[in-house]
Amino acid sequence: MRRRLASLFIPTILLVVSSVGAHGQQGTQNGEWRFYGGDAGSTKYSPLDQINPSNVKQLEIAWRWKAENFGPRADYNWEVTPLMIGGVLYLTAGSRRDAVAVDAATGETLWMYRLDEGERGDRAVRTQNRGLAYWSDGKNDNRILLISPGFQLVALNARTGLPITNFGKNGIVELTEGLDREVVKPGQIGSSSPAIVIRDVVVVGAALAAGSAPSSKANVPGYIRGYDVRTGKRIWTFRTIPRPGELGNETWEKDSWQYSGNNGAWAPLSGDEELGYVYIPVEMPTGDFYGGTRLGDNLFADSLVCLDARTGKRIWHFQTIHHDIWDWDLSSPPILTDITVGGKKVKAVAQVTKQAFTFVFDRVTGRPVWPIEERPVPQSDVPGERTSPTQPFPTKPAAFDRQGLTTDDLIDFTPQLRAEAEKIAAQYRTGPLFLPPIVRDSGGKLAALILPNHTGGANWPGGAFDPETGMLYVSSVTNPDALALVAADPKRSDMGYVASMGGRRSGNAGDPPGGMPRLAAGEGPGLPNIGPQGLPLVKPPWGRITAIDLNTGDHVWMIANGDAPAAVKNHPAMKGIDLSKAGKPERSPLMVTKTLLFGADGPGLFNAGPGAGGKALRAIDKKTGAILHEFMLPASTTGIPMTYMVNDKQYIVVATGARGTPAELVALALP
Amino acid sequence: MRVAVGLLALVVAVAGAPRSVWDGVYSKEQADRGRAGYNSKCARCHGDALLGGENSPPLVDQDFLEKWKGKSVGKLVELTRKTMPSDGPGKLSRQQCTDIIAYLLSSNEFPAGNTDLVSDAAVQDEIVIQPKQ
Repeated sequence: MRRRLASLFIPTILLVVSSVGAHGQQGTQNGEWRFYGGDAGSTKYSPLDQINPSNVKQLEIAWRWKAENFGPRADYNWEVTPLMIGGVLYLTAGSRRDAVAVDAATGETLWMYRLDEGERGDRAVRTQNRGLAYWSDGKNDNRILLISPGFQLVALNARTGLPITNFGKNGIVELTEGLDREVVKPGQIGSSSPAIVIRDVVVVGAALAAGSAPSSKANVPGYIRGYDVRTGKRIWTFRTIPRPGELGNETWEKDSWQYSGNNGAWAPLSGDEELGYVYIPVEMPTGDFYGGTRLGDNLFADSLVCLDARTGKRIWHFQTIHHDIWDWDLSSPPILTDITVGGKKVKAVAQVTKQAFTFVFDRVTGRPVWPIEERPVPQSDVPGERTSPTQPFPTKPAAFDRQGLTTDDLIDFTPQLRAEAEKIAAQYRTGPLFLPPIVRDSGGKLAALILPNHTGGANWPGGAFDPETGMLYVSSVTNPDALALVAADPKRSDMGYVASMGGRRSGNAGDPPGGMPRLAAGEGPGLPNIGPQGLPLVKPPWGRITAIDLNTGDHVWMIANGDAPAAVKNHPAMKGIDLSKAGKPERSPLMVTKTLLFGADGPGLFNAGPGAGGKALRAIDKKTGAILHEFMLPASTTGIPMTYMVNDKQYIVVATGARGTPAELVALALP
Repeated sequence: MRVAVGLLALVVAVAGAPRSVWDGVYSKEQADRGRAGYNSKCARCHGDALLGGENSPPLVDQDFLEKWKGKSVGKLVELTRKTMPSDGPGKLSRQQCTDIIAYLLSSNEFPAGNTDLVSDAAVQDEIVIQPKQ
C-alpha cells in the first residue's frame, strides 16, 4: 500500500518540479532531454552526475538500436539526437526519416510512423535527419512534431505515434505553401533539422539545395514560419528576403530580392520560453561563391535573428557577414547563455560560426556583450562581383580556429615537407580572413586558399555550454580549401560564375598539386588534402575543441580532437613524428554534464579531411581538457550524444555509423 | 552473300567493334527515362543542370570530358552502379544506370541514335567517350 501511494504521488511531484523548472533555468530538467539541443537554449547540458570521473571508465554498452531497415536504403550518416521524455526516446530514423519511439531503458521499439511521400520524398533536397520536436499541454496532450523529407509538418500522438487528426489535414501541414512562389517543385525545399516549439508555436526553418553551381539565380526563399501547435494553422511568416517596404529590402540591389532564394535556416533553432523569443541562425542566399546576381548586403543572410515566437515580429538581428561569397552561413543553433560579465548578469546568446568567431549578444536587446568592429577586408576582382568593404569582427572572444593563411601556417615536420608546402602554396592566392574566391587560373593562380574553408571552422555540431560555470565548448576544423570560380555556360546556368566542388577540377588534371592522399582501409576520402604528398598543407591540430569562459570572453584551454588520421600517421614521410595530438580533421560532437564533457572523433563522412572520423567517444575533464577515458564505439559517432536518467540509471546515447556500417543508436551506462 | 554480310555486321556490332559516343549509341526515349532516374537519384548532389555541387563533380562539359575522355561508357556505367548514389550505393540496377548514363550523354550533346544503349557490359566497354575534335 505504501509503495502504491508513493507511485501515485511521484507524477504530481514531477509535474510541479517540471513547471517550475521550465522557466529561468538552463540545461535539461528531471533527467529528460526534451529538445534537440537538450533544452530550448541548445546548451546540450545535463545536470546529471551519476556518470562521473571516478566511474566513467566502467561505461559499457547497455543496448543498441539498429536503424538499418528503416527507409529503402541503409542510412549510415545519421545526424540524429533523440529526445527523451517520460522514459521514451523519440527520434527520426532511416533515409525516409521515419519517426520512432524507443524504450529509453531497454532500446525496445515502441512505435514507428512512416510517411511515404512518393516523388517529393524521393527528391527531397536534404535526406539527413537530426530529430524531432516535442510539445505538451502539461496534461494529456503530448505531441511529436516531424518535418518530413518532402517538407510537410506532421503532428503525432507521442503515446501512440498516430497522427493528430485535427492538426492540419489529418495531422499534416503543407509547408511549401506561402513562400511567394507560384510553383514550388519537389526537391527545392525541405529541412534537415527539427522544428522548435516556443509558446505553443511550432517554428519551422528551411534547407534548400546548396548553391555551389546552381542552374539559376532564382530559387525558393527559405522563410521562417510559425504554426499553431494545436491546429497547425500558419500564424506568421518571417521573410528572410524582405519585400519592398520591409526592413532590408534595399540590401538586394537591382530587385534581386524578387528571384533570389535560399536564406533559410537549416541548422537547428533555439528559443527562450520565458522571453517568448526564438533565435534563428539564417543561412546564405543563392550562389555560394558568387554574388554578382545579388549585389548588396543581402539582409537577413548570415544573420542571427530574434523573433517573437507568438507573432513572428523581429525583435533584433545582427548580420555576421555582409554579402556572403564564402558559404559561411550560420550553421549551428544559437546557444542561450546566462552569464555574468563585469559583475553584471546578462541573458546572452552565443553564435559560433564557420569563420571561427563567437558572436555574443544580450539576447533581450541584441546588444553585443563585447564590441564588434567593422574592419576593412580584401576585395574581389571577379567580374560582376562587389564585396562588402568591411566585415564584422568580434573583439572578444578571440577566434577559436585559424583564420586566413600565411607561410607560417604551412607544415614544417621536415625541411623538405616545408619546402614542398611553400611551393604548393605559391600556386594559390593566399591572404587573411575574407580572402575572396578568384576565377580559376587567373593571375597565374589555381585558386584562392580559404581558411576556414566553406564548411567551417565550426559547423552543425556547434558547441555546448555549461551554465554552472559559464564555459562554452566548441569544436572546429583547420582545413583550408582551394576555391575558384568558372564561368557558367549560359545555356546551363544564368549565374555568371559557378564553383562545383569549390571550383576544384574534378578530372585527372584536378588532383591536388601534392598528389592524392593514401587512405588507410575504411577511411573516407573526404575533401582532398592539398599539401605535400597528399598530406595536410597546414600545421596541426587539424581538429580541435576550445573551452571559452563566457563570463570573461577568454579562452581557457584547447585540445586536439584525438590523434591524426591513419592516412597521415602511416605516411612514410611522417615516420618518427609524434602525431598523437594532431587531431582528426572533424568536428567533435559535444555534450556536457555536471561532471564531464563528452566529445568524439566525429563522423568524417562528408566535408571533412581525408581519413577523418573514428570510433572514439571521449570523457574530458571540463576544467583542463584532459582526456579521462576513451570508449571505442562500434562505429563513428554521427550525431551529438545526449544523456538522461531512467529507473535511477544514467544513460548516454549516441548515433553511430560509417561507410559499410549501417546506422545504429548505442546506449552506454554503468554496470 | 547479302545475308552473310548482314550477319557479319551484326556480329561486329554485338561482339564490339570500336565505337564512340558520336555514333548514336543511345535513344532519345532512353535519355528521357534516364532523366527521370537522374532527377530522383542524382540531382540532389550533382544539380538539376548536372553542374555539380558542393562535393559532387559536374557531369557535363569540360571537367567531365577531361576526366572521361578515352574511357569507356561501360566503365562510367559500372562506376555509377558500384558507387552511386553515394549515400546508398549498389541499389541501382545496371539497366537503371545505363539509362541515367544515356541522359548524361544526351546532356553532353552526344547524338541520339535509333536504339537504346544495351546494358550488356561487354558492349558498353567498347564504346569510347571522346570530346568533340
